[in-house]
Amino acid sequence: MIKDYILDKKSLALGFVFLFLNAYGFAAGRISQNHNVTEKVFLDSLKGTVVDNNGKPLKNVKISNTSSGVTIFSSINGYFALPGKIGDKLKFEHPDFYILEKIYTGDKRSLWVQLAGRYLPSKDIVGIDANDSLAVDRASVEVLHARQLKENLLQSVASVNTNQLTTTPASQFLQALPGRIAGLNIGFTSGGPGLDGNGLNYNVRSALGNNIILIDGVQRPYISIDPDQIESVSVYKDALATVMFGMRSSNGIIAITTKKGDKGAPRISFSAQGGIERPIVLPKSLDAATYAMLYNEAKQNDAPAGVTLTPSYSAADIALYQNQTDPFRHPNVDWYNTVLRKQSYINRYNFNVQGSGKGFRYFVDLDNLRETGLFNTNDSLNSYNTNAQLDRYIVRSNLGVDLTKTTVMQLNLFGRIAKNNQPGGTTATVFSSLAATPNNAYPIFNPNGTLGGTSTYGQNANLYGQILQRGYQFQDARDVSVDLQLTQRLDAFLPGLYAKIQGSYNNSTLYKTDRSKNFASFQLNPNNSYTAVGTITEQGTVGTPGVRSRVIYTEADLGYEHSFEKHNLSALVLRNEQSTMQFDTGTLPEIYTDYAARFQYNYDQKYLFEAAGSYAGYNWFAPANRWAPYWALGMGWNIHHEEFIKRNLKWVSNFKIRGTYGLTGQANAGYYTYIQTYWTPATNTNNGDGYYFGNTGVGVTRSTGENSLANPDLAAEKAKKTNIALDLGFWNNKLTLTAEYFNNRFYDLVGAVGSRTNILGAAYPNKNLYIYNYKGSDISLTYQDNISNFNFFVSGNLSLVQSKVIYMDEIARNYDYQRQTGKPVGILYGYTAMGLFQSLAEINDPATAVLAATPKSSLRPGDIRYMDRNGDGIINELDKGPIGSEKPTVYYGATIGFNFKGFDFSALLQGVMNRQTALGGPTAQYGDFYNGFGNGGTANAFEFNLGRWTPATAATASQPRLWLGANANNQEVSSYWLQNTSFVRLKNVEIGYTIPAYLTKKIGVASIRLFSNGLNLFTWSPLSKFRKDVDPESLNPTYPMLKVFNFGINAKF
Amino acid sequence: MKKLVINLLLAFFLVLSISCKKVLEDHPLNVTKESDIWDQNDATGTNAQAWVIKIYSQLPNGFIRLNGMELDCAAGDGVPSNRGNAVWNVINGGYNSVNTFDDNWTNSYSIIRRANIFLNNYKRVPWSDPTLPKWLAAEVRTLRAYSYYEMIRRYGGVPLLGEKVYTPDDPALLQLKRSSFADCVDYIVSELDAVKDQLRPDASLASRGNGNGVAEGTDNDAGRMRPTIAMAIKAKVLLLAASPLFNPSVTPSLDFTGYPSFDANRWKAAADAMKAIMNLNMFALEPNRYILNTTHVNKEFVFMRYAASYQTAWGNQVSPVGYTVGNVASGGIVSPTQELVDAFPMANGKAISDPSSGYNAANPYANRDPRLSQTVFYNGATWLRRSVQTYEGGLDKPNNSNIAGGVQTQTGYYQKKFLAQDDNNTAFTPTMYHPSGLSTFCLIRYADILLNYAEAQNEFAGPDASVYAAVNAIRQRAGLNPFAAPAGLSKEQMRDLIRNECRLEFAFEERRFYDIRRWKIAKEVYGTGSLHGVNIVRNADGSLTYTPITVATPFFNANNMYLLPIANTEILANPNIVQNPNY
Repeated sequence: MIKDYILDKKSLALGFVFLFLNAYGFAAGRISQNHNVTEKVFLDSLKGTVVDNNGKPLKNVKISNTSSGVTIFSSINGYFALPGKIGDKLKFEHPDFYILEKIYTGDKRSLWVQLAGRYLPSKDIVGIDANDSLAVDRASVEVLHARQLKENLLQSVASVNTNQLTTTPASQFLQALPGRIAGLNIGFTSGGPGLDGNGLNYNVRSALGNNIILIDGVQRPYISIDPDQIESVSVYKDALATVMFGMRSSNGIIAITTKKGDKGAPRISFSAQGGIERPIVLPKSLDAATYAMLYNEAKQNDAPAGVTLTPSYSAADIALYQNQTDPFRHPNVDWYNTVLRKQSYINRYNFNVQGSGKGFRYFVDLDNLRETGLFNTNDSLNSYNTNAQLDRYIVRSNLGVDLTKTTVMQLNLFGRIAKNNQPGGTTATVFSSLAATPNNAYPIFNPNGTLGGTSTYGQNANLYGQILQRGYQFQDARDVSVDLQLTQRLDAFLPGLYAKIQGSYNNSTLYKTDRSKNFASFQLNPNNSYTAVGTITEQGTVGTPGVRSRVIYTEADLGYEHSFEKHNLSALVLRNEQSTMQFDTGTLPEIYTDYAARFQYNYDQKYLFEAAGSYAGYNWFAPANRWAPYWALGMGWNIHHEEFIKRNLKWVSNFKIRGTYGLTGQANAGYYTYIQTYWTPATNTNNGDGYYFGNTGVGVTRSTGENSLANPDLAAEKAKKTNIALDLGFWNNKLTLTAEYFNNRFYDLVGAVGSRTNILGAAYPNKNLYIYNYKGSDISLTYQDNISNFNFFVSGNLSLVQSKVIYMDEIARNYDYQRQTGKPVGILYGYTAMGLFQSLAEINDPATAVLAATPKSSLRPGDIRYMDRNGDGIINELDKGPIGSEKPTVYYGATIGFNFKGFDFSALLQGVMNRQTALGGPTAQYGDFYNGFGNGGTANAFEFNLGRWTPATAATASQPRLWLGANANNQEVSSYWLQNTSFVRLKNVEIGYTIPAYLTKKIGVASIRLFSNGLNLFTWSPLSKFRKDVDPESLNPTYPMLKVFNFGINAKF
Repeated sequence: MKKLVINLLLAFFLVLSISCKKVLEDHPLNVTKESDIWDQNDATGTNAQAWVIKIYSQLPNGFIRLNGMELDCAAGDGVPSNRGNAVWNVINGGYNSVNTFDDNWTNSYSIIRRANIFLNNYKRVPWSDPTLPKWLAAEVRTLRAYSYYEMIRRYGGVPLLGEKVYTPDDPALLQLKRSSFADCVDYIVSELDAVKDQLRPDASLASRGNGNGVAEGTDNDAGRMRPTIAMAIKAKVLLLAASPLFNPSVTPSLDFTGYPSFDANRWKAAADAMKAIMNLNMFALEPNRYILNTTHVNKEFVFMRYAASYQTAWGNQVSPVGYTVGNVASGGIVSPTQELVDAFPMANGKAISDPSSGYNAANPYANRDPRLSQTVFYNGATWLRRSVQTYEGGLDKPNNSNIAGGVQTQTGYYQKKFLAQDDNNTAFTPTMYHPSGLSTFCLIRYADILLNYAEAQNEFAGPDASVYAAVNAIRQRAGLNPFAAPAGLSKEQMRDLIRNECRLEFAFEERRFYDIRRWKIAKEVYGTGSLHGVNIVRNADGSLTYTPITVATPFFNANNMYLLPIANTEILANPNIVQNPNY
């Protein structure tokens, strides 16, 4: 055993680093500011206790008598006493709390002063007491494997804290992030009760994806935890911030840090909240009569010129649809109103306690969330629930124990149970059927009380039946994780040296119980008989294990911190390894290993230097490519520490320029794709690969052959990333500004070979080929101030990203405009529309070019006309060019808020600019939902279809003419369908009132806060000109994004 | 204290070493590697044999392989009933180098790659039976030759790879040139000649059914490449080479488009190759044509794409939309055209345009060539014990939405080809079409050999007695009375007769599309007029009124469409690959 590790080369390397540091013999000491705040306690007439929301004493609160100018600091017990007289105004200041001014009246209210915590992170980053761990925490931010003082930070890190998360009423706390963090582009495409990441998509500074989310340093299988257990969420954006994560360092990292106990006496918080959820918008179907008229119009539109077809719906039919005197044969059912309730509910209960005892610190959090679905289910009809629903229980216990004077153990336990229910046919199916079923499809019920239906829509079509008689499906997700960390200070060995080992075990399981069934609906025949559509079946009894995985993370660190004279130095070397194993696939684990190091040095906190690197491994690469080194450097200058600033520009509290540059990597290989494999007759069960010989009854003869060609040279993707930033703070950081410019060149990106020929006889393997460039800037600006007791803040951020394809092994193109190289990444290509054909004469003009597949005889006025870009008289693939916007992606957010006499308020505005989406066109790309009458003519049409082209509305038409089923000409990807889907949302608003402490104290509660908050309250988008009834983010007919109105109460002890 | 420190350090390094230890294998060892395929410890060559199977499975299939339609729906014999089917684009001329149609390039080169890998490696296996590897190698070469044939009939000359297996990074791969059409023909023929005597022997005629059309044959190696298959492919290749499209080429400057000059001896070579098969007496025409739809092994099939067992699904695919068998509503997916229907003569062999034929326009389907009712469903035909009703408002053309599973006919006809004779049954008889796997599809049957012989011999020597004999054999089996073609036909008249026989005999068997190109008549027979159907109105007295209707106006560009385009991406990636003219 001992031989094993001694002979391990990598361990030896680590040892050498360790010896190297030792040889220099730096003396012990921790980097700190050593700004000791003197506690001065005057025994005098104005006295009392200053406490926080939990009623716990606050030390180091600066208390000044504005009349006399005397200033003191509260004691460790929160006690203060200073000279003055009744009627003097006292001012209470603390970086974490809003400023309070108070007339000293001498009564109880004066003796018990409660300060309110700030919404934004503390503004004060200068002057830290190194012995005050809270203050150090406040002044520092979480980076990979450590915390660093903001003052010395060179990495590009942006973060939000728990206060900004808890105001968002949603099952996924990530809903709170849009608009909060510069450089993080995050959004949701659907809502509703769901498991982790339901509808989520996000990226950091780029469109590349593969960004990872860490919880306490480990990439875990779960991301939906309750916001109350989160201390902060940080986004690591540049090379220096991510490089220690080696093969996962090219893209940004979202790091979640959970709360740890460290606050003295137990601080208990209990909150209960309940909200009403309503769809932001729902698609608006046409009423039956209008649908029928438009259907007739569409049918006639498809007819050859000069031919008049018999309408599918006679005038009598339409009249019956209108007057509803024959509701069974001429129904007009508003399905959205029938199947969906106006609102659903979300409830959350949270209990947490944070504190410390002698030699231990703890944080315990219990959370229950329940979110119901919008389906109009009826509990009296089923003994089981067929609605969409999420029930989630979370428990976390983070415990820190001082095992010896120099040994600290941190043990974090986490458990989560999430139970997700949905109708037997699945929630997604109900919503896609809702969008596809016209109002006149069938009645909900027949005269005899059975469900209505028609064979046109087949088995299980009746939407009301789908939510009530289709049984249910149930998912049970369970996650358990245990983190154990031991930190040993080794000052005895070498002052400033410490070692840390850490292990984390995570287990996640998902089980599905499918108890769905089929039901029958009945078509009412003209002779009043019924034809059954579909049959009733027994409920299924299928239980399927879903994803089952475990993540093991191990880490061992050696760290060293030292200061002498004005030199401050710290170093860290570590090895970590994350192994993720999917039990349900039986595959070998995916293992990321890093030997990483970081070295920081600054001189007098003025001149800052940092270097970090990793030698990183990824086990799914070929042995030759498994290991690669990555590195990053950063330099900065705290100009505000220079004498000339200190002397002349006292109002400049922060002025730093910093820059980083580095090489990062990203594994993007797939499962051992370097190995050329072959299928075997045993593994080949597909008849398409087998053959039959001989007489009938002779079975299939199975085959073997090459699986996809392997690329043994596949290696990690790489990026060279530059980040240049300016941090400014004025007037003691009342105003802060961070502006960052980045230029990231991603290369060796894995992609398909462009110059390829099928003469090879097999598909080409992907190679490390592509080069993309992303550059842009993130800017955030915050102003916090107070006018007497009116504390307010305004904070805004703006991010801008411009992408460019530098190289993509692009095949030679017939025309320059077809080339994608040099264009933004992922830009949409298609035909350029020249409006709609206005007449048959225009179509038949010999100069008019049309698609080869749709000859002129098939075109009608009102169809889309395309530009013949190459002028060859025919529209085809060669006429496709970039049609999407080449402008940069811009996303932004603004938060404003105030706190005044117990009232607090915050609001978040969030938006995205230069966002475009092709709606309509091919069925695969939002097609049927935007074309109307798709799916062979049986699909739905919507109010926006009223804007279709007709001869009378030719000038104002917002849509092509109507058609039934498919229309090869109009369903091409073209600029006609391109819509501006930029938007601005009032994302989040919260208003709260804290009942004065002197009142609640009587019942033994330190504070009671009543609050109400909302999510997605208003949305403005240019899309509403085209289509009012869809949300610009949630463009598919899926579970809608929700608008939430939430009320709650929070009590603290 | 020191001890604690040492202990902790030990623990620290222990963590490092534990995480370095390999609990699981370094890379998956369960995968099948190249050495497992050419296993030097397996004298039976299990995996090497299985390698060949994959190549077989890439043989082209027929039936609904193109956008859910038959190739013939793009050749004027039918149209898709569903107006939204993408084959309408092809009828409208909507294919080019960017949107290719029936593109066999990728599949063919995939076969060639697999064949070459086999030929380069099979000798690594310590075969205990020396005949098996010889047979397999010959089979693989036959299959490879057939893939080249599939390509040259579409594109003309293509790059010949020999036995080279390219790696993706090989720069030569993007510098390959198209071989001349002549070289391709020579290569295919020489390959087939070379392997003919190394293939496993043919089964006897007697083992392939009893000829009464009831029992299945007993040939357990049916489907394997045999000498007769190699001979038949060779004969087809020579016929192609002799055809007007390539003999001579319209663009002699591009040697891949055909021969620079006409040579009548090419017809002779084709006729001789066909004759050689006829002389073997290994095949015969099955007296009952329905047998061709319900058996794998019979006396007529020469070369099949062989697949799973029989299914009734074809009945549900094509039979008229008013039928529901076994709870499955019929699809009626193909609407045969009036042009195809009119091509069938009367039962006396005379064309319906012949005033003496006895054709009655008011009763158009009476007394017709029996193959008409074997090929299409027309109004009044009997099917599953009732009359097919394709008159307006009839059960099979209701003109309303009461169609459960399909789309009603565009032309007044539905396809019957490949169905069994179920006029008086209540359910479909299983046939060769298979809905989930690939189907058995006959690529060359003896009737091809006879008609191809007649074609080649007529072109070379005129309508001699052997030409008459071959044509008459087909007409006799068809049930014409009298079956003999009129005596004294000129070469041109005989040519037209043979071409029409090809159309009737092989309707929906994927011949017409390439025949009208090979004969260079596509523009005249397909690309100038319209395709028609019939509108049948049932009058109050029960009489029927037939009115022709236009269903499609196909587009055919004679400047380029005789050859199919090579995919644009092949040309762009390798400028040495020259596109066919005018694409």
